[in-house]
Amino acid sequence: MKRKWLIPIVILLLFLSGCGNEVEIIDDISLVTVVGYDKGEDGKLIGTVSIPIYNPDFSINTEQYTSQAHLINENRDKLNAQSSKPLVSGKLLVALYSKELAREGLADLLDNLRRDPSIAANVYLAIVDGNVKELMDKQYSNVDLGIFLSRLIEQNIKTESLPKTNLHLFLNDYLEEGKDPFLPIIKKRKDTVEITQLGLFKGDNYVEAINYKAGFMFKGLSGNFKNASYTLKFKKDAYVFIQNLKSKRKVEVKHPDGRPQITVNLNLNGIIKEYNRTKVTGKNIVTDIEKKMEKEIQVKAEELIRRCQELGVDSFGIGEKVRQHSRSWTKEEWQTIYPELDIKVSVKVDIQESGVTK
Amino acid sequence: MKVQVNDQNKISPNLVFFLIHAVQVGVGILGFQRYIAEKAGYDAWISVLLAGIGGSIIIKIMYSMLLKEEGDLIEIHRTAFGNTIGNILSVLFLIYYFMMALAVLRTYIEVVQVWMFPQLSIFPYAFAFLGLVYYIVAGGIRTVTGIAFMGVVFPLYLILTIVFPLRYADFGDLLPIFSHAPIDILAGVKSTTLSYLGFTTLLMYFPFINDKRKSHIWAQLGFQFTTILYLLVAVVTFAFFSKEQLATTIWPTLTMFKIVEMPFVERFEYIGISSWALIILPNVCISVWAFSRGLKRVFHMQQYTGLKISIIALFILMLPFKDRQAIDQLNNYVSTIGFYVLYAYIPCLAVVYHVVRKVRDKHEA
Repeated sequence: MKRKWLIPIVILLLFLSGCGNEVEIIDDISLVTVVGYDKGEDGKLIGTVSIPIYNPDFSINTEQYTSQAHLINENRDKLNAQSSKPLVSGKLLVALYSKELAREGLADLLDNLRRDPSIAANVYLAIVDGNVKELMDKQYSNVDLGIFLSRLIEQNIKTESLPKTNLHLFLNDYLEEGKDPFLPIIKKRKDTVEITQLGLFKGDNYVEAINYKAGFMFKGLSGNFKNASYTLKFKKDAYVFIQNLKSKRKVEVKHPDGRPQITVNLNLNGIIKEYNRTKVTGKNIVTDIEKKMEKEIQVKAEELIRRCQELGVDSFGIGEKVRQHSRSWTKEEWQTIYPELDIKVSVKVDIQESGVTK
Repeated sequence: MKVQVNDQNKISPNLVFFLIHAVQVGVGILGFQRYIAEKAGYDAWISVLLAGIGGSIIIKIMYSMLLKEEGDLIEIHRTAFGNTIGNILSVLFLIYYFMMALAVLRTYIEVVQVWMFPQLSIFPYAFAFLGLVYYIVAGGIRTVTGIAFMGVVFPLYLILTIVFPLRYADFGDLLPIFSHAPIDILAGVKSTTLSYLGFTTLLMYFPFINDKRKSHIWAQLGFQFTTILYLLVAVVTFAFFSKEQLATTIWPTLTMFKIVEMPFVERFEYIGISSWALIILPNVCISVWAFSRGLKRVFHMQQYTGLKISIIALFILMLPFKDRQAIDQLNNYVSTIGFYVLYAYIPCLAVVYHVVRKVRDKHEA
């Protein structure tokens, strides 16, 4: 008899449990896809959010709201007052920060993204060269700004010109002992947005930018890549385009007299795709190309490492590698010896194919 | 003394695998990585392995007592310490089962509150969940075992999501191995305890197993399956997070769900956490069953009455735990008590029990 009651009660409870909560219906909320922050007056932040509006005729408008406050969420409250529907950040794709803010440190600003469970770990972060609000004020193509910017970054990562980056990886590098993070720097051009530089960080403070063309080298030094391309000036007016470049990085650490000696080994292999002086041939032309490329990459890579050493920025995680080989590694000690370390680069290039012609 | 159980209420020995595994995997696995890394750094995976070996020995000890007595914990206590003291100890042990159920359910509700529905109040959720628990436990140990089976097999697909963090993993983070002192690694073992707890419920449902001797191997297998699962999760977590990042992440396993990308689902956490209800359900059911069964055996009351008491008590005692600190404290208590129960109380009990039996058997012979 008791059981007779039990089943309907349990069923009722299971269904009723859905009632207590505020339900969020997609048509009644505004999905924020991009947030951007500029430095405001007396310690305030200028926060801008961008929201796609999907029109019935399938076109998309982007709406912007801006306000000023001390806290990100205080800002959000003020923005809510401007919007007809509540702002929801579960669909956030990109977060932008001005150079000034990045110079002062991003950790406190990122804390908000990290603390909020509704924000994905693969949100893209970028620094804006110029005014963030201005960049966000424009719609760049027929897609929403968030999708536009995230595709821009994603595409550059896939073509191996930009090292993998997102919220999780930034935090991972920042909180890792012996590694410093980086972020792409984007700039508004007339009708489009372009990745112009790579911003190097020391801790969470933006320090300096390197040219985006060095992105290839940067990526090679910080990890492996699979599908890059490279243009080599072989001889006078003779250029070679090498594709499907794969690279493996191996950091060798030796301690001959207590001081670590570091060699970064890069193993590259690829395929010749284009060669504009087919008449310029030689006996061992492929070997010559390999030699030339090895030399060139080595010089550029060492240059880049030296630059980082001068800045005291360990973007390639060399400290991390040394730590993994030593039990007495300390952060303080590493920071004092890092700028004077002797870091060598050894490059090995192997060109496997030259297409279907000889 | 032998505890008699009707044959139709018994379960086959291989199902012990699910009972052991289901009661172990609960809320511990959501956050144990941070606790163990606090103590033993990234050498903590060794602690997980050591805890696996330790637990295996404890199961062996429990079987040595149970097979000899052919009864349950209550009977063992009575044999070892006499009726009065034995019963008091049994009641203390039952409270521990109860606290396990309380900690698991309250922590799970907290996870739902933080990750999915910040406005959710404990009251309706706990009411619905405990109603379900009542319904299942009222069905007896065979129903509970069925739920345990379901609670292990259905959410098993969650293991596959480990592939996603692997793309961001750097296994070099685990180097250098043995950078921590052995004492730290042992402290790590203590911190893993919460995630391994619960298999002592075996002491209660043992009389219900058919072919008890054969079930030993299944109990061991169930336990080692847990160890392998934890080892896998711990190693991937350490490779995925940097040390400092892990130290400030409350539920690393759930945070790893955030990196999961699938074309048809934007946020995997929601699916993961909802599936987790299926993992929590058998966990609570087994503990509540053990508690109510214990009440029946000690106080000779109807098991239904015991069950009602435990459901109402769970419901009321859940209310004072309002914030993260309180819940964390509850988990810490359960973990610490569990550690001493496992590695101090049970071996001592076994020594006392075997000595008493030897003396008594000699007397009788």
